Amino acid sequence: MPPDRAARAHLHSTAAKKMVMDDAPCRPSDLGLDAAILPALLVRLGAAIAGDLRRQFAADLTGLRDALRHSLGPPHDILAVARHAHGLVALAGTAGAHTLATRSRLLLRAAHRGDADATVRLAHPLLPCIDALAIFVATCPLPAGASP
Amino acid sequence: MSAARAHAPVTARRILLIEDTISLQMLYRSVIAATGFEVDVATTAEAGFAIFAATRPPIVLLDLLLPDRDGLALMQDMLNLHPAVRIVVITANGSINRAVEAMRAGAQDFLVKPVEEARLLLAIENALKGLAPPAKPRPAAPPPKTPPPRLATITGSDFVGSSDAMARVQAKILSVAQSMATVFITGESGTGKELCAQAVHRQSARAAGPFIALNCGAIPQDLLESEVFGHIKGSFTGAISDKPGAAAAADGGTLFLDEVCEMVPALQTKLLRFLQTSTVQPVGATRPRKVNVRIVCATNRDPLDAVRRGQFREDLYYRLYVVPIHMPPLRERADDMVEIAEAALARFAAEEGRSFTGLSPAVEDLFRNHPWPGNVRQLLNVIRNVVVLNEGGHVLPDMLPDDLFADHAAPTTAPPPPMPALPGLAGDSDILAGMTLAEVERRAVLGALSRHKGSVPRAARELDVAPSTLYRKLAAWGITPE
Repeated sequence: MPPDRAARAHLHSTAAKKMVMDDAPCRPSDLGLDAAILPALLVRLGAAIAGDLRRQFAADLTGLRDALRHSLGPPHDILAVARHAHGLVALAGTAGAHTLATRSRLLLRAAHRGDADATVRLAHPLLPCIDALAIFVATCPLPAGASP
Repeated sequence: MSAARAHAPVTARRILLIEDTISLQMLYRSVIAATGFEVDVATTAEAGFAIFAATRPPIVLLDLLLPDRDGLALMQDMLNLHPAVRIVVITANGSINRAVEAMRAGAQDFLVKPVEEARLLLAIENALKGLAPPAKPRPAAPPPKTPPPRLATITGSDFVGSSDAMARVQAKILSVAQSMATVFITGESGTGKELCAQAVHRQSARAAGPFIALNCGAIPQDLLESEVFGHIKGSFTGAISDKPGAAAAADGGTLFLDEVCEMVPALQTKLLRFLQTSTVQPVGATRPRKVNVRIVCATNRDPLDAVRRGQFREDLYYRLYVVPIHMPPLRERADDMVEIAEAALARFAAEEGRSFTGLSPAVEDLFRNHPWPGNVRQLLNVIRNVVVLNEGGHVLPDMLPDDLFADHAAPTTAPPPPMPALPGLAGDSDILAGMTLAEVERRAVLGALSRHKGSVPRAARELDVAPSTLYRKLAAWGITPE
């Protein structure tokens, strides 16, 4: 198996296990991903930055997922939840995951109105979807000439 | 992240970007640098202010949610140090309150994440237009008593709502506003077509000119020609003085023709001639007059259907239908409902001298799941009703008008719609045997509604279709959404 495909398969299998282990799996409709948006963005930005940006984007998503899970507690840190939801709206929307962005916006609103129950209820289903999006980003095609 | 260069020369081609998410920082920086700007970046408020103080950039892009400090407080410090700086704030919190807060505090523009590249560059371009010539360095001055003048922007001033659908509408308005192209706005009643037309006008180079709105469906047909093209005194009974008409009154500005599909055929011919020649000839006048008018028109009907039915001239349709903008119905903008309601609540409460603190979560849920056949106009009427009839506090379900859910019972409390027992569809082809495709579809839709206790928006989400699609199908099947 070519290294890229092997890495992709490993990522998918690892993430699939995590998704089931942590929360209910992320359905495609939960993500609402337009898979053409991020590759097109990377092409527009150019080969010189595409590889680095893709790597950083995936790392930011993974870091945000861990931070969000941590902030859900205990102890529940609603200010941190708001901060991470804010970041997730932007990252998901930029990557073309429209439904995830919308659901993150609902989480952000719940955090802003101080509704701890709602933030927990809304945040948990997002976690596997952040994983799924990170996998998509990490394996998203790069423009010709870009180094992975 | 580039290092700050102490005492670097002030240049209009320099931007400071303060954003704590590294990948977004890389993205914005790359987009901006490609247009020839020098971009300094920072991930914290502290680092950002240090760079700002050292380099005095004319434009700052500022994320409002930073790890070490509130972005608005940082913005205030930057404006105090360098009042002429143009600050474009970026945030994922697209609430009307936050936008108003930022603009009142002196922000030049307010961008909602995710930010499209074109929108980002447009905000920078607008910020540049507002700058004094870069060759003249500006000495530090005390903070102005009023915020610096800024160009009108759509976000935060005209439209409420940060849904993807409205973001697309706003992007389209911004991209078309500067051209002379005719804009054709479609959408159901109450979706904000006139607001959209006003936004096109205000964002255009003719913003200083008049905006004349004419509702072709509300004016008696025999007066319509006179209303549009004017008349000369004595040209018909009742013409007791010269009247310029809407087309002439809009000279140098925008003429908005609402309900344009209601225009009688004879007047459609005159409108077509007007569009071809840019001249108006008032009733009774002997000479045409040249005018410079941009046309924006709107209808709540399907204009192509009106053409097919022979009610609207095909050649006029193609003249007018240059840049279509569709205003989405409120039921497809569930995310915007609460924002719109809260903005209206604040406005109406101020007008009526009441002190409301917001919507209760139960009311938010009711609003999100209501189909709003009258769209934003209906929602505003409901809020007005609540404000007038109640003293204040949180808006609770029992404050809502009794008839609001009369035709559309609340999905959270209503039983699921009447339907036969539904077999599962997946993995059992025998169950589907003998069914028509239409029956399979009907069962899938009703099954989803049953699982979501009659909530059309939730069922639509599961089925990955727009709620309006389900409403249409249910209406065709004679089922009233509950």
